[in-house]
Amino acid sequence: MANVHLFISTMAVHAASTIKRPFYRIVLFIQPIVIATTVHMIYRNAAEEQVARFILLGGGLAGIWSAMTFSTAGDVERERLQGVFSVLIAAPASLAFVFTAKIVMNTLLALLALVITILYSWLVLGVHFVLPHPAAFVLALSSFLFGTGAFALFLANIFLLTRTAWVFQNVLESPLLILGGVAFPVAILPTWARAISVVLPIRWGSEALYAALAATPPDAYFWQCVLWTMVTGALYWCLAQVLFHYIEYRVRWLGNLETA
Amino acid sequence: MSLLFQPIARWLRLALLGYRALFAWLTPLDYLTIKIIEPIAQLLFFTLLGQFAGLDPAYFALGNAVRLASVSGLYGCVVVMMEERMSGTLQLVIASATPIGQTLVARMALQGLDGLLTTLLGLGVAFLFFGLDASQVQWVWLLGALLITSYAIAGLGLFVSIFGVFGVDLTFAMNFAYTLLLLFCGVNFPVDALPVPLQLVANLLPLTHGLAAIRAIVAGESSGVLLHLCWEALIGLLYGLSGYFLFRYAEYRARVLGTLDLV
Repeated sequence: MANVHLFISTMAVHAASTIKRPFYRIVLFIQPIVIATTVHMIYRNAAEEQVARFILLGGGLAGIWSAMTFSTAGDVERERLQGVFSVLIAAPASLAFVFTAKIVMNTLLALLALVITILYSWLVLGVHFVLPHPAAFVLALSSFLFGTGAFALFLANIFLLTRTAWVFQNVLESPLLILGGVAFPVAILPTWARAISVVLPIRWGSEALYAALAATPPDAYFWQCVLWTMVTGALYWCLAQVLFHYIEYRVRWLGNLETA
Repeated sequence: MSLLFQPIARWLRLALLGYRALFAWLTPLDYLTIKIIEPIAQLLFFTLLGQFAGLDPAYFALGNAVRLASVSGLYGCVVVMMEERMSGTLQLVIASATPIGQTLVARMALQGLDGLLTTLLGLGVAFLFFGLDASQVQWVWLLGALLITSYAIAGLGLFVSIFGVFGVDLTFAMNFAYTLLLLFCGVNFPVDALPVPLQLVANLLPLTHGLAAIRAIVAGESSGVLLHLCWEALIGLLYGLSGYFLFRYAEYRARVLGTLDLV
């Protein structure tokens, strides 16, 4: 029961501090609109049924990914800059537990990007959101959120090893949007880029979501995408847990958290 | 003779310090990552988006290569001001003997140049990988147009950065201005595809006329180039001057009310 209370409290504190950051609000509220508008204008002469999926999902998925990168992964750097990280390490709750609570909250907040994109596309751009297979869409969205969350948690660990994590956050955002196929399919990328994208849950999650919005019923490829999203997501989740334990052990042993 | 060069050397030192203040605490690897990989990745994202839509990737590559100048010109100028406020050194800038106009222009100087270099990098990618035709380019005109565009964007950066002194959240203001440049200035789709009121907004922003001139120069056309460049320079100058006078007002207000760091 104490754990549940701690989990919910961590989520609540995290939501309050995250939503107050101006940059996060921009990533969450403005970026999806920018991408949805750009995609809409680029496809303005194409048939609506061909492009609606890209307008509706492009901005939303990009927003979700950016919000996850700039929140989950960026949280580590902020905790360090504010001097809270050493307190978290010393607290009785494990680091992995605290960050799991944060990431669940981040995921819920990031969903707003998709909601904003859908509302903006419908009310301003006049692109209607039609859900031919609601259950498949919910399943694909859940797997996408799990996959991106796990990957962001893995990145958070990597960022622990540097004091300039924001550089890597900025640099990784666009390449992962490209390799993740959020606004256009990875099929247009060169073979080597497609090979890299195979290990990214964001790529499989995006493909599952696009497949779920297609008029045809979910086929074998849809299920394959959902499965790969979960598998790659689970892989990064496990890697993140191992890294959390290793880093926690290492900083306790070396005592160099604030100097590394 | 040395007396003649002393002010110039001092000004250059001021410009260099303003620029290094942004990056001095990063390693060279971090700096190069930000300056090379990030701009190219941004350019690739939008160019591939256009390519997937069946449109000419060169159009997107050129638009985004020029738009990259805003990363340095706009963000650079604004972030210097944000850092100044966060570090509590804005009071020293105002209290120092150096005229504020000189400090502000020095701040812009290297950001504009940095924007030009980033754009040249993007253009290199566009020429090499996205079939942008270089055969018709008039290089001297192109360099001149890039320089004017880059400094016009830095003028906007200076203008936006001053709002921080009046209590406006600079992170929001900077990203809002960047969004306007990305959406309205003909980077990924022509300005005339926008509704008429938004076209009017576009014509008041730097980048719109500069990009139009650059597209014409790359296509080997000359009609309208000079007029576009004159507009671009004028718009950039107006933003820069507005920024200067706003700062002078903020300086006056801060001395009278003593509220510089309270808003």
